[in-house]
Amino acid sequence: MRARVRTPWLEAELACPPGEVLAVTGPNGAGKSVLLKALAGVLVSDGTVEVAGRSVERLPPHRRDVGWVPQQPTLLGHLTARDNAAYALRARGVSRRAARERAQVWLDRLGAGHLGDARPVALSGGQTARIALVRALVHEPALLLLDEPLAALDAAGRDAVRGALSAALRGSRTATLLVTHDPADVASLAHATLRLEGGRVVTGGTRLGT
Amino acid sequence: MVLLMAAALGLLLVLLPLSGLLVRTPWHRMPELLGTSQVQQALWLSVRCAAAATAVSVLLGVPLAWVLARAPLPGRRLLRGLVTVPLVLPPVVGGVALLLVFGRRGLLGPVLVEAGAVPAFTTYGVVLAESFVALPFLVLSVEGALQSLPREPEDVAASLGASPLRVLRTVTLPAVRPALAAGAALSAARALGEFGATITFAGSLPGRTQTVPSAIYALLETDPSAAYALSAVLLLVSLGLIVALRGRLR
Repeated sequence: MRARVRTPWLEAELACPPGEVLAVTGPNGAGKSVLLKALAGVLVSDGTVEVAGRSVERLPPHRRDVGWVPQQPTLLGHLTARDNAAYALRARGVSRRAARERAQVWLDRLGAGHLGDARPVALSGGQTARIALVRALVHEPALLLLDEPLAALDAAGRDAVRGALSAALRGSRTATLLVTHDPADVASLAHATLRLEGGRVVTGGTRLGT
Repeated sequence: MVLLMAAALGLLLVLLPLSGLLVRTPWHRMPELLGTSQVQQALWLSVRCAAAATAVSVLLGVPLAWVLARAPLPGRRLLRGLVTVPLVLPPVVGGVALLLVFGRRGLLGPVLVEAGAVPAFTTYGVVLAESFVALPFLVLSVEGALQSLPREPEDVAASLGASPLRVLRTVTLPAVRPALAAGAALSAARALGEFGATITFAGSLPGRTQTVPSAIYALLETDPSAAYALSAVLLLVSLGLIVALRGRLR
C-alpha cells in the first residue's frame, strides 16, 4: 500500500505492504496524528490524499476501508464493550449475532474476552484501549491507523497486546501505520519506520532487520 | 442585609401566589369539580394536543437543531435567533401571526379552504399553536447538547464504515438523549400551559379547542371552584416536571 498526503501542514509519502507495520515517529506536533486523520478521511482540510494511486480526498470516511484508533479513544457509552467492538461489522450489514461472535473472537485474542458485557464507564484506561483496538481490527481493514494505541496500558499489558497484535497482523491483508513514541513498539512490531518533523518526512521507510 | 431582604421578597413573590392557590383549592371537592363533562373534555383535549405538539416538536426540532448546530449554513446565527423568537414573543401575537397565515383569510387561506383543511378554530389549530410555542424549547436544548458534543466519536464511527445517517442514529442521538428528554419535557409543559396563542388562533370551543388553560379562564366567570381545582392540577403537573428534570437543567 502506497500513500501520499499533501495538506497545508503536512507532506508525506509512504509505503507499507499488507501484513506489515510502519512505525511513524517524530516529536509532538510533527504531523503524525494529522497523517492518520487524513488517511482515515476525518481531517477537514484542503489538500490531496492518494492511496494506492487513487485520489481519495473526496471519499467520505465510511467508504474507505480503514480502522482508526485515535490518540485518546472513547467508546460509545450506551453499548457494551462487545457491541462497541462489533461496530464496524454491524455498519457493514453483518447480523447482530455473527458480529458479536466475531467481535468476541478478537476480544479473546487481545486479552479482553472477559470484558464483553461490560459498559464503557466501568472500564479502565487500559481496558478501553484494548476494546478500541479490537473495534478498529474486527473488520480486518486494508489500512489500520493506530495513534499510540498502547499508551494507556501498563508494561505487562503492552507486552501482551504487542504479541497479540503482531500475531494477528502477520500474514493478514492489513497494512498498519503505528504512531508511537515507544522504542519497544518499534522493536517488536514494526517492519519499517518513518520519521516526521514539522510536517515533513525526514527519514522515510527505513527497513528494520527482521 | 438589604440583599437578603430583596432575596426574601423575591422568594415570596414566587411562593406566595403558589401557596395561595394550594390553600384555596377545594381539595375535598376535587373529584366532583374535575368530574364535570366540560372539565373532563378540557383535560383530555389538553393531554392529546400537548402530546401531539410534543411529537411535532421532536420530529421537526431534532433535524432543525442538527442543522443549526452542524450544517455549514450562511446566516446560521440569524436563523438560530429567529427560531427562538416564540420564546419571547407574547403568545397572543403568535396567535395573530398564525391566523394571518393559516386563517381562513390568511396568506395560505385560499389554498387551505380549497383543500378543506383550515386549521384555525379546530383541534389541529390547537396543536399548531402549541407546536409554535413549544418547538424552540426542544431546539435550544438539543442544539446546545450537539454544540458541546465532542466530534471524535462520530469521526471514529464514520471511519469504521458508518454512513452519516447511521452515525446520527448510533452515535449522535444516543449522546444527546438526556437533552432530548429534557427538551421534550419542557416542550410538553409549555404546550400544556399554552393559552394566548391557542385561544387567539383556535378559540375556546368546549370539546374541540378548549384546553385546560382556556377552560380555567372560562370557568373563573361561571364556576370559580372548578377553575381553582384545574389550576391546582396544572400546578402539580409543573411541580412534577421540575422534580423529574432535577439536575437536567442548567
